[in-house]
Amino acid sequence: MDVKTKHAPSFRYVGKPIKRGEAVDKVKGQWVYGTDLVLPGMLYAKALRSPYPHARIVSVDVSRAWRLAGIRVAITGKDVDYLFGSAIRDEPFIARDKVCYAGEPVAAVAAMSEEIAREAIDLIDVEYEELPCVFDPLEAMKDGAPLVHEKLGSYAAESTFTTYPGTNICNHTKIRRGDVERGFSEADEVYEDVYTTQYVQHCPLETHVGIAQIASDGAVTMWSNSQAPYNFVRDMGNALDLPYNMIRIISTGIGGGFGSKIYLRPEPLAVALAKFADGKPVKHAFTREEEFTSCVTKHPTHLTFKTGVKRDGTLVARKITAIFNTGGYADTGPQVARNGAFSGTGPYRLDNIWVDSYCVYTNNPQAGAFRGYGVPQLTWAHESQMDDIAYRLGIDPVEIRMRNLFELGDTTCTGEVLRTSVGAKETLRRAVEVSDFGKPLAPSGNPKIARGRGLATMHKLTYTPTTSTAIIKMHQDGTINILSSTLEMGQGIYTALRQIVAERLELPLEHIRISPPDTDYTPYDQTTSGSRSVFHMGNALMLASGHLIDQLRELGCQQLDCLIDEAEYREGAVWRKNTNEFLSACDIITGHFGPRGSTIQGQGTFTPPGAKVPDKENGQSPKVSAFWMYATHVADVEVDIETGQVTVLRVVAAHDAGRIINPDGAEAQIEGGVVQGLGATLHEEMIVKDGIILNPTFAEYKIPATMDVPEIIPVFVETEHDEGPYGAKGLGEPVLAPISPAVANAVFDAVGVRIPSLPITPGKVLCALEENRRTGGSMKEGA
Amino acid sequence: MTQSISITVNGEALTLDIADNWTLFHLVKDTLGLIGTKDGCRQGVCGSCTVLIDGVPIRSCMALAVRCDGKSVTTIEGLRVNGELHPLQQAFIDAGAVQCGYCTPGILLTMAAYLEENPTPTEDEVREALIGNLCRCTGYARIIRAVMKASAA
Repeated sequence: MDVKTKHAPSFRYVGKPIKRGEAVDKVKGQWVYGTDLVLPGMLYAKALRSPYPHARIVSVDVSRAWRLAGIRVAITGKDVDYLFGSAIRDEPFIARDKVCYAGEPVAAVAAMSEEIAREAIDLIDVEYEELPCVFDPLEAMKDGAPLVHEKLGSYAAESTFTTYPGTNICNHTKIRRGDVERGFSEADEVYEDVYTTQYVQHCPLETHVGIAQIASDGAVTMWSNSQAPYNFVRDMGNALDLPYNMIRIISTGIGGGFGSKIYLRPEPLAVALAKFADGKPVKHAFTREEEFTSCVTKHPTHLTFKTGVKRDGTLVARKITAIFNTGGYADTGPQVARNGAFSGTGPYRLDNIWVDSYCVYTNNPQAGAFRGYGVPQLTWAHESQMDDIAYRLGIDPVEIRMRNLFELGDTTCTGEVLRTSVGAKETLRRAVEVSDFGKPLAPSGNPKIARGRGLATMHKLTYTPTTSTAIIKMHQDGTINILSSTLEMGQGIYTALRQIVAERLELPLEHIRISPPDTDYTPYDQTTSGSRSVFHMGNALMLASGHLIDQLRELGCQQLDCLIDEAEYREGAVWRKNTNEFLSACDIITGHFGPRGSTIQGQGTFTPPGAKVPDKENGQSPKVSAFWMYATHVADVEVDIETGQVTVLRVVAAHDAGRIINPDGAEAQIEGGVVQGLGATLHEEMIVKDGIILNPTFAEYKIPATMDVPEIIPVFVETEHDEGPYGAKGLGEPVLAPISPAVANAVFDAVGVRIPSLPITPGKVLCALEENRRTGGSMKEGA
Repeated sequence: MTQSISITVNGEALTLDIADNWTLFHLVKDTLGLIGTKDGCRQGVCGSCTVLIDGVPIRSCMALAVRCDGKSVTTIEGLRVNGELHPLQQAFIDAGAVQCGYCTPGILLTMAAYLEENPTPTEDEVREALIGNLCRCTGYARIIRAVMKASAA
């Protein structure tokens, strides 16, 4: 049995659909976001951006901009000699010698108003000399391809990456396990297929905003709508060569992130200008167009899957070559390409594995973290191929997965033995059951509309090892402030963390408040991303609560005149065991510190025990992820045979996220994630031609609207994790991954064509149908 | 060039000297400090900056402020009645229709105007009425549920 269901204790708050507290401010328009912020004396920044994807900067002249009234700063790359980058420090604050993508800043101004700043950049003169470009990552990997970074090798980089100086490869992740060639020779069939994914933009409704102010002693304060303030402390500190205690990040409200707000984006330019702004704050807010041209996107990928199977569908060997197009600078691409690889063989038992994942520079827009961190791309490939294999072998798609899916005790491609919370099979069982997968779909009633049903299963790791720390501050009256640097960006984490603390401390939820993150005051949290917060920050808060309780018991037993072992904490008070004697927290604090009282701080630091970065040569580690999440989606679709239009009718989304802390918030994560995933499945694509984005607006790049949304049925498989707070794991990211292949598999079921490249546009479906007709392919009858 | 206009904002009559190239968005947000009005695209596509002019939803990023002379503007700050939440605001909280909340003010105002016009819509009618408001977080299901709930109240 692979599912562990412990006896469910009765909880006060955990597992309850608590309404999110900050919603009241949000419906009233009072929640303050980065875009809303105005500070005394604030200047407005604007960048002049390169129209060329690869060019030498011959000269930049800002003198005409200075003639405008209201201009306060005008600078070029020559004025700020800093490089930033989370994985590889390869990106200048403002381009100096050359530009590596179209949209890179080459000069910047700060002015008294946005309008003056906009006017000023039109007065800057730049002379470029175009350089040979490389846009296709497969071309970029060849000998003799134009180099995007001649200096690769000289940049500061995290030692866990394998870069190849003199090439465009900025990270090569290897996974080696068993003997893949022998596996192929022992297989009954070996299939090799190629799948690809496209450029997708995050499109948070609020654009990126960074405000920077520099004090006389050089200390930098940034107000930012970042998902990861401590990343900013480290990355900005490293870039400026400043001690970390001189960098302060004050978090604002966040209007959506989806991974795009984890690393520095508008901030370096704001800091560069602030250096010359005489102590004034400088605000750099991206326009919507800059969100497309100059931020980060999801990595387009080219995925070659070679898989050996037995005739009964048992997987024997798998070899993967994954190529991630990371654009002009690395950003976090090397991590994304690595993370994707670690999930690449899918949630399946396999003894013989060979994975090469390459992160490749090109002169395209930069790609970075996107909800799922490389996993949705690899899931697209392994789940499309799973159905392709099942079809070729004449096996049912459910059966082939059941035969291979992980159970407790199985080993991942990275060599990790799964010892707790493996709900992969259960998500499949439940998704099949709820969707009635085995039963045929009712026909559409229209001979031109074919119906089909498809499914996909996935697993996802979380970036590991990472650390969360928290302080729980109890006031004299027994109420609580949580000091943590985990960010509320819409996912509902504030409510979930309050529920965990209220549960642990047995206090009313209303007594628990979260203080907004500010790195001068709230302790370290690596990042609010990777579906890691409930698990990591939840655990840090459990530890901090325990620490607080220990202190109350310690002080309480002195005042109750009993031994520490006789002092028991319950519901905000310390009781002398087996008696009716107790002291409230207020009594204890006042008794110890006097009538004016004090606060008591419990602190907790959580790093997943036993976690280790995998070996660079074989990708093996005893624990590559703090926990693994699993999901199965079933999609019912209609395909219009005349237009190629795919319409999704219903999605059943079964997730193993461990114990669910807040079912209401969790269902909302699934609904939103499925719809975001459907956008990337059916229509979203940044069209990039010769390095230039042709559709950088909401008018031309369509994200799903109200009419595009099918019925979505969330299902939870709560396989508790031994190390999770109350058995919880995570949820937000996996939602995006299985939906695309589930839809592709449903399209195949409907009309017998395989669309191997995202998105599944009407044009591709029509072409495939036409190809099938021409070659007498396997097109099935329309429903 | 500046121009003097008379405008009622959230029930308060104001006379203001404004530049003739200001958008209504700039006027309410930057000049009047009504920060509940959000900008998502400044191209009139996403609907985040929606305000009501004489009860009609308008993209404030596309409207010239001088054209609002003599008109009445309602922003999200003016949706509450006598300090009480509008039934839609309460329904959004109750239905969990708010995630990051950035699109919320524009959607609330769009729907408040719509329910005045059609107090008992069908779910499909609500979907259609909301087609011009983008949300990247929720997938819309709870937003539509909340509007239906408010309309039934």
